[in-house]
Amino acid sequence: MTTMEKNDELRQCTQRLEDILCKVFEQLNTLAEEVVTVWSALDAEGKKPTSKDLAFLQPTIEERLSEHDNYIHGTGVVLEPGELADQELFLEWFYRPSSGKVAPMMLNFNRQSESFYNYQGMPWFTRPKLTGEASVEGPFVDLYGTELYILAFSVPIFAGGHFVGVAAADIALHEFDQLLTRCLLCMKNEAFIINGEGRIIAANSANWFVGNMASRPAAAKVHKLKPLSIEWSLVELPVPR
Amino acid sequence: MTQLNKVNRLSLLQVSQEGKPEEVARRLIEVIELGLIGVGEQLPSESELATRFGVATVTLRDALAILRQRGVVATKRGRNGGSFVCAPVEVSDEFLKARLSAMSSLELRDLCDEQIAISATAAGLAASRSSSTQHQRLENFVTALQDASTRSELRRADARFHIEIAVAAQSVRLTHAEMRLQAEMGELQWISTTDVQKRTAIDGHRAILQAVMAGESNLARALTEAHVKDGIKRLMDLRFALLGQQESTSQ
Repeated sequence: MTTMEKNDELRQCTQRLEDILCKVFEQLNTLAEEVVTVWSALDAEGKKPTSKDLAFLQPTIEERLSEHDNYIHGTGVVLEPGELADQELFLEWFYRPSSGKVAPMMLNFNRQSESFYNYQGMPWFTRPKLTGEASVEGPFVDLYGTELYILAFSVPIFAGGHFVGVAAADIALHEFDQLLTRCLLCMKNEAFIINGEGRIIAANSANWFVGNMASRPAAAKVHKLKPLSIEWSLVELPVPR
Repeated sequence: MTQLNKVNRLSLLQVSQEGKPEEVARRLIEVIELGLIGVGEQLPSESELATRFGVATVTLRDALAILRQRGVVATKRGRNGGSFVCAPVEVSDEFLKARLSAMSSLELRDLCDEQIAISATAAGLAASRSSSTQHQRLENFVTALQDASTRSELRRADARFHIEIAVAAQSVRLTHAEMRLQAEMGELQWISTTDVQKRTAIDGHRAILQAVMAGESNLARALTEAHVKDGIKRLMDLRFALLGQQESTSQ
């Protein structure tokens, strides 16, 4: 194979992967924009938003979760404390239980309770808040949550220059894998995707296990994937698969 | 083959599969036992729970009936009614001892085999797969065992450490297997606790954690195997002692 063909193959694979990631973030940005529109309108009327003002998101969220080729397990918006007049901690979030019907997420926001779900310290919430950029956390075993191997995508929501919360999505890796693996199979060489901490997210060869930390041979080529803020890379090895 | 035989075989197939209400009940118990819904707190409504577990309301009612029967929740009728989490009944040492002495040596050895297969494998994988954030989390659960004093606290902290090792191993299946094992065995491990036993367990966990942090898979696996064997041996010794007492009083 010529170098040109090889570069072409790599370019195509990278492009497809970036398109997939960008689509997730685009959808989250749409949610974020819808929130900003309502926040600005209420602000113009001199009103502080309440949890009821977020109910309008439900159709968009449900539609997204029931899409045919959907791989999103749960999605919605999560609010910064102090943003709502009636609730301190709040999320407008829906997910797909095993039955397949879309359902609202229940979390315990009682501070006195041992099971208090304090998202203010969770990386998928704090990172977009601190950096102002899109973020992906994981994959991780979501113990006592979805109980799946999860990637948490999130984007910050800023209205009138201040942080309102995040629009986020839980993606189950076992469902996302189909899509990522198909892209990687366009490569003739062994290749895998790693996250910022060096963990393998998807691979096109049984020599590389998903969830393992990748030991990167010196001859491997590493291509950063866009959007750059998520720190994912496509690694190509000089070995045919 | 006779018709009766066929029926028997089919009914065997059915019971070997956990029923839907039992499964929902087990998951609810896990959530409650790990403190995710606290004592005295109200469970979400039947319809909410049914949606959440993706089952029919009838199935969920059956699951709640199982929980009531086991004394995990109490149901109040009327306007402010609903299902509430009961204070955990501290099962008496005597009850657990009776359960232990009724077990066979083979059963205990088999549990040991299974626990080694799950926990030691998880520790080996955690050593090669866990990140520094996870090391920090695991450290917290070693400390939690130090701070624990009652049997249920000790049991919870001990179980949580092993479950978090499986989480650090990045495996959903090993995590579930470890949760099941801990639910089955956890309480027995802490019968008639002594300070020595607690210290040994903490040292064991700390040694496993250090091997995991150092990325020493084989060492983490070997240490976990030894730790599991220690625990089961202690149970076996205790069982022999109990049987010995029963034997001498009956003579």
